[in-house]
Amino acid sequence: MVVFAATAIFISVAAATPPQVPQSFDIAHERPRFVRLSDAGPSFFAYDGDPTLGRSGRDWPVSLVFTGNASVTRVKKELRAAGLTRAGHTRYLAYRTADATIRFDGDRGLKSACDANGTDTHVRLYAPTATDTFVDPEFGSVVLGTAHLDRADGCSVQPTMFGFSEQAEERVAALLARRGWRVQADRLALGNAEPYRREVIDPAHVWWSDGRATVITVPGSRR
Amino acid sequence: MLCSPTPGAIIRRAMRTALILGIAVALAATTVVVIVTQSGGGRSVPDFVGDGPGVFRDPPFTVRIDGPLWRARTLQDNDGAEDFALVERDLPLDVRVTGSRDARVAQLELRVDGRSSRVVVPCSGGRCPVETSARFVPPLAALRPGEHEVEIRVRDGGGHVSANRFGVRYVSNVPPTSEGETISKTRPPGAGSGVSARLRRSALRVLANARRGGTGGIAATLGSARVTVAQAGRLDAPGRRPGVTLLVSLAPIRYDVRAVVPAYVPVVGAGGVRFATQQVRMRVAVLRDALVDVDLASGRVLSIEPGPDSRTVSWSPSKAPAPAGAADED
Repeated sequence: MVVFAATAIFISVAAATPPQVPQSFDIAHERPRFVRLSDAGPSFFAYDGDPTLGRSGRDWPVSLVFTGNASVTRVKKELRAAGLTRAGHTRYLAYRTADATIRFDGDRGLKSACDANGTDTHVRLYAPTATDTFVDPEFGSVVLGTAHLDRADGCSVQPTMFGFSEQAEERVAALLARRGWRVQADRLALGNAEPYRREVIDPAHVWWSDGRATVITVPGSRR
Repeated sequence: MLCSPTPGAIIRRAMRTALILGIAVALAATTVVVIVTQSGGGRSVPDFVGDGPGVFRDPPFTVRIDGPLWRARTLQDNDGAEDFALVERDLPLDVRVTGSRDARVAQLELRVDGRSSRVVVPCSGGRCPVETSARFVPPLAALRPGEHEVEIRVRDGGGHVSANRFGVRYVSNVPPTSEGETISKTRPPGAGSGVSARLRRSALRVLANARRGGTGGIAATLGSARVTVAQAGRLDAPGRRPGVTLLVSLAPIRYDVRAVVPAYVPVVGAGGVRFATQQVRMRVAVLRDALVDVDLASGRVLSIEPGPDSRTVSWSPSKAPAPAGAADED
């Protein structure tokens, strides 16, 4: 029999100030590592988060891979046109350059308007700033993305929640499919599956991703 | 029929030509003013930003900067977010400066964080070159980890200074990482939820008991709706054995739910993670789904919250709001 909180300590919270959660508490299911889409392609971390490389401080797993004519500018232009016009907080994704230097690309991402339930979709996009895209010999121009839902983040009332990456991935894919972009759901296994779970210390962070990224093909300028 | 221009037409044409010439001269003068303003030691505008060299035209100089440290510089995207490299050792920086016969290169200076680090005087016998190159190795390893500013200043003999700056992120060490493996070799997904079927049944039993008991607001929240588990996973707490967290959907959907439900607030102390129980008075306009945290040891539902597809109207904790996530994760 699993024993959880057998000696749960009941204490009162006198202050109205919300308790602070340590900055780097969110811990990935497995140790994150660099992955490549193809043998000669660029390598990148399969999670965003703090500009660190450990298990803790992870925010969300990479669950979107834009290919075709992908660039951060191009994808953001389309997402803005689809209604994702707000920005969030900056998070980082690590990648290696051709000379093996580790770099971190930061992005605030784009957020949709809150729906009637006070929930928005938040997408962050990553690629080297110098080139605005990764170049992979097999997949061509590539932009990586994480997606999650934010509830009660600037709208509606508590409880606040972040996460549900799997649902957010589906929402983004459906949004861009309606705009004519080709979507291949859950095509790539990136080794970053996050079983549905949360932690007592930070219950607002809800992990959930099947570890398979959806590939979205960005059409040329004349689509 | 062809006609010869009249004297008046010739005068008008001459005036028009003079006007056009005047505008052209004025535009040229404006350009000169802009160039002179830019050459006053300010930051030059790069012609090219990328993995290649930076070429800065700042008359009378053209400054070309390249090398490993240049490629490791910090960049900013259109939204102001940084893209930076982890620089853990001193890296070289190659500089080539081209002046003119009237503005020769009298001095190159490397500055780090505003302090002069090295000065190169390429002149010989009182004569300075039109073009010169230098390799600098800014001593970053002697500095504290963090963002540092590297600046190259070029001077001619007449007091003109051209300055170009960029940032680099120095770290004392880069943590070891595994090399990138191709995704065809990555472990297949589906590592499991960490919750066995038995634990899941146990959690559902606790929830069912709470509904039957009519205590804790669970019954008032769920009513007679059929509860289906969409996801079940671990409820982790460092130093404790895990509980179970459920994402459930309700059928039929419930409307205008008013209840006082259990909740908790995590508390981080020296001895690990504790949590303070509390109650929340809530009103939910549309309840489609809910998150339920279950403590199997005590057989209690620790919390129940409307899910992301539900519409909450009010949420009033008795003690403190739950933390809104670590490090602005939204």
